[in-house]
Amino acid sequence: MIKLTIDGQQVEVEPGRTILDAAKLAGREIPTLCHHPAVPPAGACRICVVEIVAGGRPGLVPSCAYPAQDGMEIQTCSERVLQSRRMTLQLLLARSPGSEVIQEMAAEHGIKEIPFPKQTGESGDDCIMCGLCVRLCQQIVGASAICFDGRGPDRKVSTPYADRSDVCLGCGACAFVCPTGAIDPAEYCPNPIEKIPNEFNCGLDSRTPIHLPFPQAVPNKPLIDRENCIRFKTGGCGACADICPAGAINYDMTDEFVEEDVGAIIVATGYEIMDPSVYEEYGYGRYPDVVTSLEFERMVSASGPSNGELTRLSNGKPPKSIVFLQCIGSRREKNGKPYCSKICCMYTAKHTILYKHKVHDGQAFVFFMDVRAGGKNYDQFVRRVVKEKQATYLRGRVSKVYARGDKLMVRGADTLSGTQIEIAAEMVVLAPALVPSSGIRDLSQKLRVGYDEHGFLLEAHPKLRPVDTNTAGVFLAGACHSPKDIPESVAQAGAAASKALGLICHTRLSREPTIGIVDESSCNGCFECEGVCAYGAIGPRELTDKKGNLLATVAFINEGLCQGCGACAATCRSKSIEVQGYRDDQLFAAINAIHR
Amino acid sequence: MKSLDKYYLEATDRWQTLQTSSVPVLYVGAATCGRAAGAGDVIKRLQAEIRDKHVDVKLVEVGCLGLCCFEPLVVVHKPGSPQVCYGKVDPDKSAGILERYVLGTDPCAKWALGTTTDGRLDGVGKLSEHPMMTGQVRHVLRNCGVIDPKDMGHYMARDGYRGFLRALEVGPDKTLEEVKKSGLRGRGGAGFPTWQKWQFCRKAAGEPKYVICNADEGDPGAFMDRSIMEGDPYSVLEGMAIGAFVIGAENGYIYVRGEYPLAINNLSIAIEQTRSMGLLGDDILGSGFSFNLEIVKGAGAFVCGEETALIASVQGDIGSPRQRPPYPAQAGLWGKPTNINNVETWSNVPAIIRQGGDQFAGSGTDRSKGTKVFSLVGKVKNTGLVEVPMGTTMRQIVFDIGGGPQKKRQFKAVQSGGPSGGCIPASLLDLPIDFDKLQEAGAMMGSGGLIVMDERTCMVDVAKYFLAFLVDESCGKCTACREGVAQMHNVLVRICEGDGRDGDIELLEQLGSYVKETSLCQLGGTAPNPVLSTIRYFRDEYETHIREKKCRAGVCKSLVRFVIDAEACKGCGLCLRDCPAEAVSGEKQEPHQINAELCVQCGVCYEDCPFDAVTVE
Repeated sequence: MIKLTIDGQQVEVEPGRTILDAAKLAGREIPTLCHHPAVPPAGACRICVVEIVAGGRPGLVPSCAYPAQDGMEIQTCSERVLQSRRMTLQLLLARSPGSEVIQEMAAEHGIKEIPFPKQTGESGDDCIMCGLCVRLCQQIVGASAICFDGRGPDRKVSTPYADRSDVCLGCGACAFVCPTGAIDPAEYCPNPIEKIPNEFNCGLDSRTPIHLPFPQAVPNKPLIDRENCIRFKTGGCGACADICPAGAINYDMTDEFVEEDVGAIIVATGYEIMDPSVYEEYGYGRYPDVVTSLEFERMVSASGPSNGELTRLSNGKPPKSIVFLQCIGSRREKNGKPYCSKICCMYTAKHTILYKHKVHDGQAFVFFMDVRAGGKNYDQFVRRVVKEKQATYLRGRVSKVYARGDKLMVRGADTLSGTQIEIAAEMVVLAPALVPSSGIRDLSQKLRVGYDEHGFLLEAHPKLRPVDTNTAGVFLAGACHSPKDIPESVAQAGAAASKALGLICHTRLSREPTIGIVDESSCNGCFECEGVCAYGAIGPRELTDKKGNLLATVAFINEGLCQGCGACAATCRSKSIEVQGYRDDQLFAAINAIHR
Repeated sequence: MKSLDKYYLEATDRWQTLQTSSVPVLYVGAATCGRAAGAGDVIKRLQAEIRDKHVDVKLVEVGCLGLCCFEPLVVVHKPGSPQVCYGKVDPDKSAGILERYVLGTDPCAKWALGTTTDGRLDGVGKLSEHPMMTGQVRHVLRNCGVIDPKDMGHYMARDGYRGFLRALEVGPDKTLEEVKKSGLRGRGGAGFPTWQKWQFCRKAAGEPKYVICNADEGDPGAFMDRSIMEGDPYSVLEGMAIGAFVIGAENGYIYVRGEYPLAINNLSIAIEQTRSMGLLGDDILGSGFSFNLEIVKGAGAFVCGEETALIASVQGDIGSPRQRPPYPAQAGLWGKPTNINNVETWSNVPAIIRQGGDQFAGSGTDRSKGTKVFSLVGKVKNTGLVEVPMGTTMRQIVFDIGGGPQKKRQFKAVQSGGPSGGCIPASLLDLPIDFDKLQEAGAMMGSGGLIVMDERTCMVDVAKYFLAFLVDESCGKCTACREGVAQMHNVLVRICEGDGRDGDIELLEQLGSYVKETSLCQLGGTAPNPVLSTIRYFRDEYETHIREKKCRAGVCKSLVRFVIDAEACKGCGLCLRDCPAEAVSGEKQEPHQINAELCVQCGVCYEDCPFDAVTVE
């Protein structure tokens, strides 16, 4: 370890570390511009100079590029350092008078006026020639799309021949690291730079390839999106691995299949909302200000794309009037879902309140078929919304949404007053039908659990076994079963969990005695039975002699899964399967006893 | 070894034969400086004359003797007479010399500079007694202008490669010891002890190691490296081979600027010949030591003389310096230990090993040993390369060797060390020149450029000139040099244009010390020197420019008004004839006048007037 003194404080750093690293350890802040932890240092901007007082060649050195050495004594803000730093800032301010970063830094250093003329026009742009972007593009990304052009005061950052670069990946890393925000990659990138939509915010904003899936994600750790990561696309970059202090990044990790033996499965795959653009009359997808309720939810969320500020996507202004449309796709026999999505009435009532919080003088309207507020205190909540005039509730359906000027005209019927209504809205929020998750059918086939015509999973019995499925050990929780709100989902999940625990807390399983039995001596291994078993209880079993030689493969019935339906017994051609207690001789004996 | 000994014998024999040739020999200085002065035409004319007259006369192209103001130079060997050196030879004169002296008996004494060998010739003195040669001690330049730089035999005959052979004999430790004893310091500018530099690289961990010759001579007015490479390329190769042997490097590069085609050509030939003699290449003379040399052409960027920028350039990267440490001795070319020395340094090495370090240390001052080649240029009578022992005073160089300012003008200052150096005023003329004394005076040795300035040189303008050069040549990597030097230049332009303000001198000083200590490399680290040293010694000139808006030297056009002193004017009409703006009027023999409205301040009349009647108001 290297020991040095920074502003009188002893610090220890590993060999190869810079003075800047050591200063950070000592808690001393040194301003930087051309420095980025992921990029090899250059010492170009000279803003981070510190003074070596003893233990090295005395003088000013750039802390970002100067290795810490044993016995060094460093001053990070001596008068000499500050004088140099102030002059650097004055010179940069003369070069880039419009740069806010430089202005702020200069102000922090007490610079009010500079003794040099400020450059104007093209030469006075925000680029301070620190070269961070060039080093990054060459040494980290490996693209070498940008370079320096000219020298001395005429130096510029440019592409070869100042033309659009064929090798630019459009990763935008240069713009990301630029300390003064002077780079617009669109100027030299041949392909439009596609932003990666942030899935959690319904694509309303973008994210980087490394991202947290959503706030409070479990585990709350960032992940790398392989599809968009430069490392995976080109083999370059690798900056994240370079700077991760924990060395936690491993590019060789891949998705893998994990097999676990389990005693019970709880299906809680949730729901999706249907795409409302199939109903062209509502204009979703055509007008940016027609949004789904989920999008609205993200827009008003403090952790959302606009940090909770509600603005129109068309012009960025707050919507002064808003119309909520209920039952988009739900309760619709033709071209829709015949069922009620159950949660829309309540969340719409909540949305109207949120809307009023954000836009105090805004007007909200709700078109509804009928308000279904069948839960504890639900009805009171909706009544409060209506009573406190948070929103005007209009009973009826909307026939058309169309644009007029920058407004959205919502035409509908108010069936209570029997009139046609047209509202000039600035935002329209649709409450689409809830549908099961898209992969539910595949999953249900794997689990041998039935589903209804809409894809919702079937319970074993609607009244008596609402959490179980027909496959023993598989239980349901939440909206995979049917549209449910949060309390219902939580309750069902609790029930499913206790069912599962009831199964697996015993060392032995008790079961009904009526199950199928295979006569292994006569089974010829045709496995017709396996295909007919609705519970997945039948599989192969290998019979061997004492030496381990395979004699035959016969059917095997898992006693824990068999429900004793007898389908296998009826199918078996060699009559090798019988249901316990319902063997032929037992049945005949029962019949004979009746005749007697 | 045997064939080498044989070659030595052959070469010596050949050289002796040439020296005592029974047919006349004409040596023509054909380095770049000679060619620029017309040596090419002289050679053509002589060849034609020799052919036409059917005479048996040998013609040998040699390097530069260093007497630049007398180029083209021809040294004539006539059997039975001492050799005579002629200066300012044009084709007609060359034909005359051939006709009247070589083939006749008239030694053409009025064109002769002096004899170069023993013996007397009527009316011709000794060249060594020529004012420009007295006081000079020629070690580094001993072969320049004497041998044919394309003939290795000439070099061998004059003890060439004896130093390298001795090194191979005594081993690297003793060789390094000799260099240490000699006290040789780097001739490239900073004056770092050479043996120490070698030792660092020698001890550094990492293989392979490299040696580089920095031949990116970029200072305006400095040309000793070019002259050595053109006139005596073998000495550079020998020095590098010795250095590589000590350090343990197997590969070397000579980084020459592309503007030196003749130097590149002569070096290439020298490398080829040396390799064919087995003194370069693998397992040299069975010693187990291998050394290969390559030439890398630079593209003429001043900053590539800085060692880290030079390394970047050799690697094919942009020639920009990088922050040190690590120093090249630790991580240089391709990240391996690398030793860089300048041409003159390498060229000093063979003699040190050949004759021993003590002999070298015998001349010079306490901490600066040996001789130094200076290129003496500017407003001085005798311009050229002069090699003097360290410790020679500036007065000796400028007045004794250089003959003082031209036209009997007043000496003002001498700029030492090019754009990175500083000026030395008349008051410090008796300063013995060595690395440390110059540093103390605010200048530096640099590569050895000396630009003499007289009373008609404006020191503000000089500072502006050098800064303009540095603004152009700054690589632009670090803020301090890129922006700082440019702003200093702006202030100087302002002052020279008559827009100087109170506080500008202080601003220059402030910026100067900032650029000096904040810049990344030594280009920026020394860039303010011309400004700071002119302010130090000629502050009054700055003040006159700023407060009185006057340039007494008559250089800054915006601040100058030329008038004719009616009493001094003899009405010769020279100014009237030469004035490009027709601003001068007057009758013959009558005092002339300058029409201030028409005058463009070009200064032609000021320069012309034989009576100093044109004055600056």
